Amino acid sequence: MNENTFFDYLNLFWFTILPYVALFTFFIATIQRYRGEAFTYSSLSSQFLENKVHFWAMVPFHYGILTVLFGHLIGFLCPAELLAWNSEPIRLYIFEVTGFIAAIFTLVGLFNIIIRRTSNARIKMVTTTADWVVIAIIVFQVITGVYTAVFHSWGSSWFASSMAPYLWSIVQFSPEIAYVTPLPIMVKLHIISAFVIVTLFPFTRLVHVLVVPNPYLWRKPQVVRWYWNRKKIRTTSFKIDRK
Amino acid sequence: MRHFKLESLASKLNWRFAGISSVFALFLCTSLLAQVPTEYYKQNCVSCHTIGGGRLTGPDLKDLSKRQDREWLVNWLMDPEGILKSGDPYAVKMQKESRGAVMTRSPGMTKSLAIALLDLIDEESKLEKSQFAGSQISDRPLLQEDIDEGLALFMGSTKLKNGGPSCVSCHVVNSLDGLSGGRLGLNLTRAYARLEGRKGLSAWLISPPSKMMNPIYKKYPIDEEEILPLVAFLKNETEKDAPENTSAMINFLLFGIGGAVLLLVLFDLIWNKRFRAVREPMVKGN
Amino acid sequence: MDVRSQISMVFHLDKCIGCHTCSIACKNIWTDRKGTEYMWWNNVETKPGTGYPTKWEDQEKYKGGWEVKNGNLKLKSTGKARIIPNIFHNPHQPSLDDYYEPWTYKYDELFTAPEGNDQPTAKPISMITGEPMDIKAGPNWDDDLSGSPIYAENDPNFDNLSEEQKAQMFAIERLVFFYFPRICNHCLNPACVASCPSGALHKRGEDGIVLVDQERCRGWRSCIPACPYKKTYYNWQTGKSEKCILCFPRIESGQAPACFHSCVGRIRYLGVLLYDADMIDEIAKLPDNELVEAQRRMILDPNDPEVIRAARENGVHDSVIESAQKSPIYKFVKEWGIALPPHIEYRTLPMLFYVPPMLPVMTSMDGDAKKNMIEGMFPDFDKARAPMEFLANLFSAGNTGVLKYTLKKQMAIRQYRRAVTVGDITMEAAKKMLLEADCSVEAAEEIYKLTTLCTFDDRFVIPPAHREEAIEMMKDPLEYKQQVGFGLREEPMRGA
Repeated sequence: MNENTFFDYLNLFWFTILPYVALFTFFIATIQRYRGEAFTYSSLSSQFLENKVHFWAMVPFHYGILTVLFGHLIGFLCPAELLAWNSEPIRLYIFEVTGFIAAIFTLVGLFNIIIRRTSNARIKMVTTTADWVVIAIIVFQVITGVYTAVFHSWGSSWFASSMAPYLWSIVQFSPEIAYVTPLPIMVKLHIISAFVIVTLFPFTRLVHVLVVPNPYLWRKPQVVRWYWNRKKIRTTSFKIDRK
Repeated sequence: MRHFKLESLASKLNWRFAGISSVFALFLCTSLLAQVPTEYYKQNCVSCHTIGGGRLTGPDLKDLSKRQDREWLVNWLMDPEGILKSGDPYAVKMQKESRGAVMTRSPGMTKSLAIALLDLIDEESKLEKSQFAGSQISDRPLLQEDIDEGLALFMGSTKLKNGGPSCVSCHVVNSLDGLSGGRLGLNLTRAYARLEGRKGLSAWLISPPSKMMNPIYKKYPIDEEEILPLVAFLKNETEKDAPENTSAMINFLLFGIGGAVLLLVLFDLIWNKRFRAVREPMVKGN
Repeated sequence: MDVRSQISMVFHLDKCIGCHTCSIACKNIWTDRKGTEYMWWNNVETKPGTGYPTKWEDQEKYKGGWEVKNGNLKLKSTGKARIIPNIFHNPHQPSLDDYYEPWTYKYDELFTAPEGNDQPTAKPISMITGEPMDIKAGPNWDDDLSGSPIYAENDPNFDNLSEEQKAQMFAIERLVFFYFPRICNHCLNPACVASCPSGALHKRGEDGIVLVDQERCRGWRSCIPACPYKKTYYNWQTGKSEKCILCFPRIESGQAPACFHSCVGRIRYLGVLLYDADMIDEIAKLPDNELVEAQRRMILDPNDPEVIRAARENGVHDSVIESAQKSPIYKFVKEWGIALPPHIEYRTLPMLFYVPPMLPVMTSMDGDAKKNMIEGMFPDFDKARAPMEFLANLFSAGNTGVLKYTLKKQMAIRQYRRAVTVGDITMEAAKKMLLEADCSVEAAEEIYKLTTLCTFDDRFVIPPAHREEAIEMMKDPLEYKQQVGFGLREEPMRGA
């Protein structure tokens, strides 16, 4: 095997096999876990045990990472519109700087998460190995992302023209890895660790993302569960006979 | 009631299904479908080679079989990088003529596909004007308007006609101020010089051969009319040869950190009345 | 009219001796697991006092319950629009420190300590971290007015009392307190249910018990600030909320809940009320001082043929209607009007009622109560040891009228019984008092009997749960045919 074919196989593994392994694991395992162990779907909040650093950890982290994810989602779902938006340099800069602020925000949140989980005795009691794995992979993901944003700009534009077609080719079951193989190593690591996160997703606390309470937004305030058929008239008399 | 329905639905998606679908998906994605040579040529070769349209990055392929024997060509198509490494004199000579550009092994290349491609090239060579003759760029003198138009195209304020991303997405030239351009690709200040002038740069732009740009601009090529302004702009950049704008990246970092700090302050204000503690302050306050 | 049945409760506070037996019964059955050590689904507080969690009645801080805004009921803590930005860090959730850090002792050190000059001690260790700790608070830290300069004086029910009234209450010769046992009120308009983003919290249609579906709770913790009584708790181990389940497995098998069953003072009563669910929204929006009476209007007469017809049409079982007719709660709350809901101004319409304590009211400052008794006169309530406003803040949303009514009636019955058994009051004076207190002689006898000589069956009229009929809502019983049975949920399949 010469060097080239070796790298071909590596690319094939990271950018075609891994995505499908990730996606299928994700779908099957989340469904199975919901089916069999719905009880384990929880945000596993620890705000109750410590509520001061919690604010500075959770709020920046979630607002940051959701903004960043939303940016990626725009690039994936409407690349043409994103390119049109970016055609004016000032708008491109606004988009990029917004994303970058969100990334810094995420880092601040992650920093506080780590501080909180290592320094508070109560929080240590509810921190598992799986939590550290999740934190580690997300830290890696955010750092490679920040590096990309600074040293391989402007991601919002090249994501729309290079990553979006690649991701769509994955979704359409005809992967075109030529889009991603020439990317710099940090970007590649960012992509790979994203798929690793998707793979780990069903086995960690990350599943809480799937149960965000959207039905709350349109249900009636009060929930009543009936175990009887309310329309049936019950006439059998039942005498309480206690000695 | 719904609970049970959900269960029976989920039970259909059991592990057997998962196994079969994974295998199916892997099969789909790893095996590339058989290619029609014309289509294959369009997708993979036109960016560097014309047939009868003169040299681009790679040599003109017209009458290729008269220049080299078929066995050599088939081997070349199968593994160009390997042959280059082996120091084959013809291959080395061709690479020199191409200003060092390296031909890479095209995706999904097989022996039968290579033969079919060579047959296609022979067929097309016989025609007066092949469909792959490529396009010709005018050699009229470059004007100030061309430079301005080129800047607009580079920055994206004039969109590329075929929908490709503008240059600033990945490239920077030294004369840009503010947050400057992208840094995924090379600094293009001296691109005009690197590609040895107008002809080389035009050929590059007609079908960018870089591995990164190739798949993108194969789909959304830069229009012939857009090439001249871009060349004019890049020529102007090379001539100006402005010093590098080092503050752009620092500005970007500062914007990010400053924005994050401001936002943190804002969030603290928004949630200023958040619950902190009741018992401790009460006990301490007394 | 949407008639539903609700299992409701009455606690007779004059009978509570503050022994915490109820709390222990509950703890031993339900909350002795990891993550629930700090939870007391049933707890007994001393009033005045700050309770558990500390100052839970201070809704400026805890944001519990409902408020009326622009003619609509809104949760103070959350809502459809507010849930999204606040889901990452709930801005109103109390932390463990506002309850207390649960602890145990290193008992083995009593035996393993090396010989020395001092007695070995068992060091307290945290039940969360296992580390040695300083005990700073407990679930009944201010029991019997302990630490009253800190705790009792910070009772939020004093907020609108004058300084003079407060000072008077804490003068040492006038010190007064009573016990206030609390469990989940199983409200008609539960704030916890309305706040639950996952729809895990729900009210059982058949008996109104409010439960957390553990399979659906996702730990968004909205219910904890939303409940104004702080009776939903966060299990820090499982990441789910838990709350009093009114011992529904016991109720379904005809037994009283553990805290009721174990109550040594026999202060607790349990029975069914029929109510009109269509009126909830309208009533919960009324001004504070009308709420107590309005809530009574919702409670329907189980002997009214129209109510019975509507109840049956709504699927209420005849046997449940029968229980409602015998319900002691109906008598206390509606017929006699001597039981009041706690803090109804939170607008959750609690279905646990308290007979307000008369003991701290009886002896006025000049200590001349007996004189009043002999003359067949009511004492001046405004000179009572516990200011009426304090009790009214707790039991009638500041409405002293309904509060005095309950106290007068109880007092008249005491005088009447004194006339019967001791005889130092004339029957004539006693009957005059009864008349003035809006109480017939028959009712007085009945209240006397239900308060003092009550048996299990008088106190607990538990409606049959008819779980045998519940299956009709879940699945066609024949669907189980050919399936293996308990535990295996998929149909058996021939292996591949």
